[in-house]
Amino acid sequence: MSKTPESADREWVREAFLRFEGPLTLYAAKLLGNVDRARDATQDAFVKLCGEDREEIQGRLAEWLFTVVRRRAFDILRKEGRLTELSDARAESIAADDPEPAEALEREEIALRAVKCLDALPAGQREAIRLKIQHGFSYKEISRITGRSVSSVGVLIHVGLKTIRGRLLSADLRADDRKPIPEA
Amino acid sequence: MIFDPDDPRLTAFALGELDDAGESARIKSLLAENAEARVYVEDVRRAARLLAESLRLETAPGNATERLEALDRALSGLKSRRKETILRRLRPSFSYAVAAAIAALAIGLSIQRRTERLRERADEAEALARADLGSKDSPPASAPAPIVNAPSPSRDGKSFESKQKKRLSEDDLASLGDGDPPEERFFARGIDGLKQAPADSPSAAKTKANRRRAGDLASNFVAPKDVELELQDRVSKESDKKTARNEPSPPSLQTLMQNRSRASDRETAVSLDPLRRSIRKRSLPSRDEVRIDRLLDFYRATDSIPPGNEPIAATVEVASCPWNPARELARVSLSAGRTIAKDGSGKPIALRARVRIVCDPARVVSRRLLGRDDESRPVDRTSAIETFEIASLAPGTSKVWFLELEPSVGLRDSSLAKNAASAAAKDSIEVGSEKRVGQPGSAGEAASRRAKKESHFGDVSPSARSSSLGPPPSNPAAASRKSATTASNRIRDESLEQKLEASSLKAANSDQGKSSPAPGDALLKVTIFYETPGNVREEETTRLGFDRGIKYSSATADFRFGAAVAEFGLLLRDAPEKGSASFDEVLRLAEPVAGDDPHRREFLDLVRQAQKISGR
Repeated sequence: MSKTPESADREWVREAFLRFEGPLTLYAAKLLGNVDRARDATQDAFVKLCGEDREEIQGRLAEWLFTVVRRRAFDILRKEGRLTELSDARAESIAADDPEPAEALEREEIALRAVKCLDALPAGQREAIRLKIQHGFSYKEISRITGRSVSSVGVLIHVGLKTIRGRLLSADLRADDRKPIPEA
Repeated sequence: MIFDPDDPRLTAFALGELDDAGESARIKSLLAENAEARVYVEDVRRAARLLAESLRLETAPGNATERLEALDRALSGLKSRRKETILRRLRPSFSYAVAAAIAALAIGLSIQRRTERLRERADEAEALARADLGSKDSPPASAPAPIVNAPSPSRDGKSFESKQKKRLSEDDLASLGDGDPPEERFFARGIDGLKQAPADSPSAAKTKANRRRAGDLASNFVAPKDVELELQDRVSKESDKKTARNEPSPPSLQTLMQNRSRASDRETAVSLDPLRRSIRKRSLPSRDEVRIDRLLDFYRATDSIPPGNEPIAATVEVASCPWNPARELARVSLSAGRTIAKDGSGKPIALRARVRIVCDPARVVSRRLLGRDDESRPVDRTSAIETFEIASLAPGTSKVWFLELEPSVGLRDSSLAKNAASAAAKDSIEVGSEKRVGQPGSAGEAASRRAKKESHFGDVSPSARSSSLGPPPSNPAAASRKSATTASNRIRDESLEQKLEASSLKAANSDQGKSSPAPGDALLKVTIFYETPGNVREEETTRLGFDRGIKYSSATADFRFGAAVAEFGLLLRDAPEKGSASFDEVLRLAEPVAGDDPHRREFLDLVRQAQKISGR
């Protein structure tokens, strides 16, 4: 028995919801810093999806949903007057404000350290790295989602990962420094 | 090519993003030559791997099952989208166009009305001036400007200008430019005046501005009201039409989901972070900040990732409950394989699965799902079936549930006897062993055998089942109804039971031991329905949970750690069902199985700090 177009559409939206609702909410929560608003942004995206032509966006559904959620999140931030891009300088100052960075880092497991370093990055780098590593998008897809050029995305991810690498290395070195020196 | 750590192509290469074959070859040759470059690329890959592992643990906030239900309701309310797409797209633009036309019409009308009033007053003023000055002083009608420019005494001694000023102030025109020369005020009065204004007048621009301001005034005070009335009228007409058609407005998806999200605020505002923050600030988190199911989700199981290319693994384990010796604790774990499914572009996709847990009502009087069934719900819920829809079980991750089961009286006696024996022979029991430590010939064993015969999963009669749910009802009619209901429930499940029994038993044997427990021994049955790539039809697999009289201290490491986490949650929530739970017991359970896992080590720290804070 063949499906009617309406039921096929419904099934399509349902499948999209099942597959993307979690990652989208997570992505929006990271942009907005608020779970409720993140959920609202995600819901808006699915409401919008209900009115879209399936054929038009089927091949790029993930990209489309992430783009819509991103725009919605930025609308919310603009409305609330919170759209202040985290500059490199500010990110550095935030990282430096940590009262006991070395000790804090040592306490955490190395993977947690990496996430902490990620969260201290400027917003653009953070977002690009999350889209790449957490959500598995390619540079090109990230460029379409964020509206940046592919090379700009490449630079953001490169600078971000380089920073994380540097901080992880320095933490490792500090940990090594604290180890007792074996007697000769 | 020279190694430059600032070259983004190195990172792109490390992440597999360098599409250009030439660039890729150059980087490869650089890596072959330069050890520093190799270290750099490896470090980038390592950092990316670390991040991927940690970020994978992040789960979306909220209860996806509830929101999915809301989505289903909303989708069922949606009308045929294809047919209505064009109409729906046109409707807003049509509404905007109508509203804009009405607004423009109202503004135009008000400006016209205002202009007419001004013209009438100007004419009136002109006539008055003529009357004041007499026919011999009156200038030709084609040149009214000098009348204003040359103020003349009136009959009552007041100048024309003063009268004119008074009239203008009545019309709020005084605000159009108090410092303006009189001719400009006159120009501002109307079109006639404008016609007479010299084109090269230095004040012409200001006059035009005044006219615009006059238009603004008119639109501000007149037009919106007109538009509003018009729109109100339209809205009420539309509403009347809808009421006449008796057509209820379908709730929008957004409304439904927002309502849902508001309703579950308390549930979703919780993660491990508030718990960490509170404890680091030397205070215990509030009850609402502690969600046992979230805590269980956070601490990953170690033993249940399916081997090889298996898409899914499910385990069920039953042991005594650490905080309530009269109860059993069942751990249900569902894990996704590491390479479970890939989409068209080769990316791994999350697993979707439904998990159905059915407790045997002949053997389980009540059950409580830790984390979901909080203390506000009654313990003795008669529904013995739980169904979960897992929207996103990422590759290599698992989902764990703990159920606290209250066995029927005979089984409980038997279980207690088994536990006592188990405790006595503690050293002889291996972790995860299925060794049966019963008391042959004891009353508990006899009760166990009786219950086994009456089991839902084995051979069961409706009368036996109804008796297992509690004392027999005094009303025979009620008893009959109850029997009929349970029988019908049983029939509904029977076809599935028969189909799955053989495979369940096999699976249970392979998973849980070498002996051959009968299906009738099972306290609960877990059925997992899941999709595999390329198959539309769901696959299903079943596991049975047996009461083997295992004490919690002899259960598997994952069981013990999970039980410790659940107990910690009960303590922090100060839940009434926490029984004999204590921080010491949590530590006793968790310490031996924490290993080197940093999250588990951190858990121990949190428990110790919470114990200090609470003073217990």
